[in-house]
Amino acid sequence: MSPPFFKGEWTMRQATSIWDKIKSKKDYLYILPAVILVTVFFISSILFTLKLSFYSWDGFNDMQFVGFDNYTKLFRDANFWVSVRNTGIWVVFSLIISLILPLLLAIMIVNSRPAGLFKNIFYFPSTLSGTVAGLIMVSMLSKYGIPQVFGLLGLNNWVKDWLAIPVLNTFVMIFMGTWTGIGMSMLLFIAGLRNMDRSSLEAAKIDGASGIQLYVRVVIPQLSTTTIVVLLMSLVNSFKVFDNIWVMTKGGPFRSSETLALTVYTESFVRNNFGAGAAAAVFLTVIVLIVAYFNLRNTFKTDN
Amino acid sequence: MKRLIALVLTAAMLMTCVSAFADGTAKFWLDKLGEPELAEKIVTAWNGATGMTIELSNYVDVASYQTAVSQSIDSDAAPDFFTWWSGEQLESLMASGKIMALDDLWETIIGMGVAPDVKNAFTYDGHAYAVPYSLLYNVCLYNVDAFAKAGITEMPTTFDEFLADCQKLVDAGITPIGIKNDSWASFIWFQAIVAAYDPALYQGICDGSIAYTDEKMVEVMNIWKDMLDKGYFADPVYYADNFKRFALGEVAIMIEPQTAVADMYRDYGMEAEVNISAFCLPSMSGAKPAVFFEAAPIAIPAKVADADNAKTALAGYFSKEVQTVTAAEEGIILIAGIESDNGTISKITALANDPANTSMLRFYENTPSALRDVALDELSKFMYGEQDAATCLANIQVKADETFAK
Repeated sequence: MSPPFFKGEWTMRQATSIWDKIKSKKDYLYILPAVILVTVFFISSILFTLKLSFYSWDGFNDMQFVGFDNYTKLFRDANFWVSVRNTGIWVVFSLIISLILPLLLAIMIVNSRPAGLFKNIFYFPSTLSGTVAGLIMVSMLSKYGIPQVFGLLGLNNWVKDWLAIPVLNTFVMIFMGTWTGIGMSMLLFIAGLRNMDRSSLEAAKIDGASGIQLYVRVVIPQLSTTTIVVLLMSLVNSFKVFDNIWVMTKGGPFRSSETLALTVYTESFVRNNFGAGAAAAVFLTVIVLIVAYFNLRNTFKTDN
Repeated sequence: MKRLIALVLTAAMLMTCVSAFADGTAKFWLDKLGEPELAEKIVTAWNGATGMTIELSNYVDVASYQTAVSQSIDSDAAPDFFTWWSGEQLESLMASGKIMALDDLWETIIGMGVAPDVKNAFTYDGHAYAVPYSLLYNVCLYNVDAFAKAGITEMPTTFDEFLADCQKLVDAGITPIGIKNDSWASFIWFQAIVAAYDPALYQGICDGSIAYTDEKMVEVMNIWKDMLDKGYFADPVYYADNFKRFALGEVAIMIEPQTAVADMYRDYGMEAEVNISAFCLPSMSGAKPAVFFEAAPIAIPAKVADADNAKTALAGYFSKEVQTVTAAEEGIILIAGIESDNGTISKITALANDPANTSMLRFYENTPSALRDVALDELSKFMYGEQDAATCLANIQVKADETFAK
């Protein structure tokens, strides 16, 4: 007796059915490569990092299970809390600056001619990598750079290596981060301003609104979706800021400008405490996820 | 037919493997050669000396380098030999069984002129696990013109004379000592002053036999604090700026290895023994002045494909051809009979080999890394005036107790 596979009509019917099923699922096939890549390179890394945070490992010798030791040591380390504080400073000030400055620039550019030229000028620093921008700033802020100008003005106390002054160096680096980071936010605000519903703007003008009142009451509320996107981007970027700090101060002096991302790196790759580095990474990830969750939830609410 | 194809392919693969060894190729990884031109000169000399092909890969980022080595050392992708760090980091690598003992290679290179004493820096449990990539001697470099401007004509022979010279420099409007702001560099003047006070005290804090809170250490810190208060130290700046202000004569002294002498000539045209020279920081007690050395090791992975090939290639690094290049370009001399054209580099080498001085492994490699990292932060805070000496020493001792208890 021949198996059903060799019966002509049955095969055609089955083949058609299978093809229909594949067609109905083909959307999933499009995202399959991305799913595989994310699973291999992201999910596996996350799981390995989570596992590593419960082990002591120097990169060469066998891993030893230490339970929550890495976490308890981390939370007892004063340098860790300096990192948390610095990360907080980065997040708060980056958010303020990266919202206000790009919005002001976007408003000015939209109302100026030639808008394209100004847009390109302000966007250009965003094309620099954090490392290159950091090296430029190290050169500019070194003792023989901008501080010399203050010396010529008689302000000799300002002729110092600004990146070597604790806390001040963090704010200097935030400014540097703003310089290279506002371009994308500015473009988003420009797009938001150009796609705005003009009728409500005209109606407000007819009702007598003008100047700052017009922007505060009409324009900015209409940019809320763009604002949330910019906010989320800035938030995540400021939490994971690493490259420009690494280039400019390496977290020093005496770890005073270190952020959580830098703690992850130095513990893992400089001090070879991969377990402690993984614990710091898990802590940072949890904080970012919590903050991002609330922002994403607000975004979806706005969309609805 | 399939069998025939399989046979041909297998034969081809075997021939490829054999030819890889037959032509004497060796992969060398390191993180210390930033200049491609210099790397090219070294490789050319090395290939010429050995008749082999040295494939040199330089990593510019230390962390990337460490990761690359740690992830490949057990695999076929591992280099034939690689540079590492001496002290505890090499000991950890040795303890893991991932590098091989090189006692036989040491016999060869001692015959080529490497000083046998250097072997001690890489020896654990009676076996040497590495050979030197470089031997750097940290001494006081001084700007000759700045010293002349302050009226200093003789080098100090006692610590009091050194302090008096610092005061003369201050009076002449020159900051005596320039320091860089790298967090890791805070130990440089600490180790110098401790060893100037008493070399045995320095060795004692490094091996845990003397507490950081010992009254002698308190006295040392008070001496350092006094020097800071008197304005003998410039504010810490970016290392390139420190070199620049040294070249400009804004600061007169900095502790650096001989590679800095080559840099000062290349970048600022400071002529050896005309614009720049060197001396050892004198002792406070009449003991021998200390010359601090740092020895970067080269190790061979335990699972290297062909150990003899790797050792033969590595021995070539100590040939006169290669050492002539490293001496001329970097001031690194590992074998007897090679002289540097740079008079100051020769002077530094002479200071290191002078029996009137004592060579000591620098604090960075001489102290367990967990303790060292804490000490660097605490000393840095002290230098920046963020912390008093007593707190600094007490905090380091807490970590020392924990570290040496293990």
